[in-house]
Amino acid sequence: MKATELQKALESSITSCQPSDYWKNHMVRQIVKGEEMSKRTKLSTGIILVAVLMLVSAVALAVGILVNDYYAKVAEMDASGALGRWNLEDKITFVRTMQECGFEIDPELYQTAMNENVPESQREEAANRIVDATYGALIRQQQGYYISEPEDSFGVAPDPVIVFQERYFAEHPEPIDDTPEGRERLLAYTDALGYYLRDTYNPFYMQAHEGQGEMPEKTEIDEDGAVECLKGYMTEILGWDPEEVEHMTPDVEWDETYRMWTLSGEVSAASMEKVTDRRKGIEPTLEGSFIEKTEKGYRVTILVDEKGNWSLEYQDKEAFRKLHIDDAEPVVRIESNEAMKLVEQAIMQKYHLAESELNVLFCDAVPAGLGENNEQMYLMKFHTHYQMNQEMKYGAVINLATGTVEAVFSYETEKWPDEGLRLLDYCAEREWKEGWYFHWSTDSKETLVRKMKEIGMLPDHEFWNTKKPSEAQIDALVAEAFGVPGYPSAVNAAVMIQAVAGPADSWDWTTRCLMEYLIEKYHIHSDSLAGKIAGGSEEVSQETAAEKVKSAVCSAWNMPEGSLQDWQCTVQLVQSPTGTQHGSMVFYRVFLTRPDSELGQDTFGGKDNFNYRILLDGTIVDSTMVNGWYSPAEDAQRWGNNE
Amino acid sequence: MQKETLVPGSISEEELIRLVDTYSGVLLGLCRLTLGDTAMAQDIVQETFLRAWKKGGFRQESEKAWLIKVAMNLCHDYHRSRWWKHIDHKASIEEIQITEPDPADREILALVKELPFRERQIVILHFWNRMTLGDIAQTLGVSQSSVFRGLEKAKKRLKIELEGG
Repeated sequence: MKATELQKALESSITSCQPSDYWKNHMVRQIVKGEEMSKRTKLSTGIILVAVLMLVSAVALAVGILVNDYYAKVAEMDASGALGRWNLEDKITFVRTMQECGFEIDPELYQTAMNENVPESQREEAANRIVDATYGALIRQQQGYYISEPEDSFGVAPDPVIVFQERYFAEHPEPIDDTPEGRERLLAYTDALGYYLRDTYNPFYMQAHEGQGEMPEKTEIDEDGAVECLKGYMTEILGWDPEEVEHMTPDVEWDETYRMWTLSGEVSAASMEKVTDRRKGIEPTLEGSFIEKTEKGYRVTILVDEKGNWSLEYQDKEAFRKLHIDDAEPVVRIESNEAMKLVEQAIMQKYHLAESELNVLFCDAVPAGLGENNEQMYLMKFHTHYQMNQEMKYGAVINLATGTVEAVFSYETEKWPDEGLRLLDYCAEREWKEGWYFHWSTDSKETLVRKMKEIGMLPDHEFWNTKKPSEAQIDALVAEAFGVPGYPSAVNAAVMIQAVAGPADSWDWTTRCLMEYLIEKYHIHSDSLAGKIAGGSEEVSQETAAEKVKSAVCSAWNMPEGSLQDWQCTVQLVQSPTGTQHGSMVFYRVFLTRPDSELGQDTFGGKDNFNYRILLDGTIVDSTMVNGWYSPAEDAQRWGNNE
Repeated sequence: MQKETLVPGSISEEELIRLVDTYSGVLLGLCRLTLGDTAMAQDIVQETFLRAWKKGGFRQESEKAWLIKVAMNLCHDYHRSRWWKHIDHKASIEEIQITEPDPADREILALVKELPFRERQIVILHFWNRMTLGDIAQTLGVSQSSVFRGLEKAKKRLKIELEGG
């Protein structure tokens, strides 16, 4: 496929949607008037948890799980990403765990899965069938979301939540104990499950619903609302037949003292059979539970309070009331505009500024600590500066969830680490005058290491007694200081700052903001490389880089490996200037040149020169190829001039 | 790409209408291609404009980038949650008119839709929006090296000829 074809296809798909004026106007009206947005998709708010809790019990009892550490093992697999990868090795490990923990497994399938002499595809098939026998059908039946989709990365791995629930029933194989102690125990487990679910899904959940991370404040419901809760519970949680539930007549009783309803509804036995289909012949564990068997079928009773909270575990109104007494407050208490006012007040107060002095400053804000997992999403970092001058003046961090000011500081008057600043200044100046570190003169490099020594970045060493150290010695010291052994180019502002301000994870907000500003301001370029290598990536040698490139070229042009054996190959270590798409990266350039003996051949598309960029971890970044022949030296020269 | 910057104050209704007129189609197409679901794409586009409105706007030169960034991250959030498969989809064909791609494009798009989610996002942003890898990294909130790797893998899967890539 050609990139241009891909571009065209993407363009045609992306421009294929024409929203109607009606929809656009409707959307604008709702946004402007602050109306609740009408959604095309509706998240089912009933968490399947409880249904699974009830229904899995039968399976758990049937298979007689005997061990307590089953969940721990699976949780460990989950934490290590095994359930996400879910490859053959993970499946085998999982199946072995199941077997060790007492699951009934088809011995023939188990043998096949474990037999290393059997082809991998057959082993995987066997492992899939073993897992599916316990989890797959149940999950698919109860939880429509559990569909294998390659891009989802969940595959058909069992859900740790279900495993967690099974643990409960493994440890408590008796029917649910409807005594206060039994309820307490069940509560502890469901609480834990609740936290698990909350921690896993809530960030998304809040965003999806509210956009701004606010929790909807619950409004009071009336009796119809309470009946809707019961019906939703019966259909979404218990999975009972929606049509039957819709037409049933519930019993409803209001208790003014506790301000809650007791509701119950009944369905036919057939409705229950549908959801327990897989376990035909196994009677659901109902004794002492919240579902009772009646003449007609099954009846469930729940409590619903005036805010629409409902309870399954609690049939005790007092306990239920206590459970919701500390209902979550809306998470975000103030909007960013309100936060801005707080910032202004805090700065004026701390630095004795008049409003007019503050008004000449421009203020902007960015999320503070917003990571991929949306942690700390409620912290906003504000900066003030003159519009024509990007030098920061004041800063503050506000917690939107609590409405409190976490830190207020001045970028100018806070104590800066002087020796660190001098070092940063020096590096910035050298980079500006001489370019990348490895282009610096030996004198400049030597001055650098002496300044690094001043701030304690380099240890005592006989080097310091050497009158005229060699460049190689200096490079070795620099490489050691920046934690990139064997690679001396990584002059890294963040590392330098940490040498004077301590490790980043110990910084308070003021230090963090000041240091982030310094790192941004000095922008000494090898940060990403140092992070990459310090993060554990293996650095490949020039020879390996050349081999990788040759292999990639052969593969791209459908040529046998080794077809480039006679081509001339030159490898250079280079660092790109800032501002390009691979800004601040250090990489190899690999030049391949067709030998004279092959000139004029149409192999490799008739190209005579290839020029690849490959990162030090072996990732090939991009390539250029040239029609017409250049010698390796000429080719390197042409590209070298552009670095 | 400009770094996202927030500006105090709010955008006017006229400004919101302009934004919706200018970008709703593109965002809708982008989210639909990313998630493969028109109804969800509609919700994400609504949510994106709502956020723009609530945030109070952004600098003129980066509005498109800002909107794409928010929409892409919402797509990721939706995708990341398994709840999204637990959803009733109610796309209304009266609200959105969709032109079917020609057969050649359809074939390519089918391959794109088979890419793992992150790679799909990277390919769309890189090849459609011509974003640099650094900008994609910033947009998706991942490291630049992840983007490199994702793009490389996607290229391999799509068998994109290297001269174009």
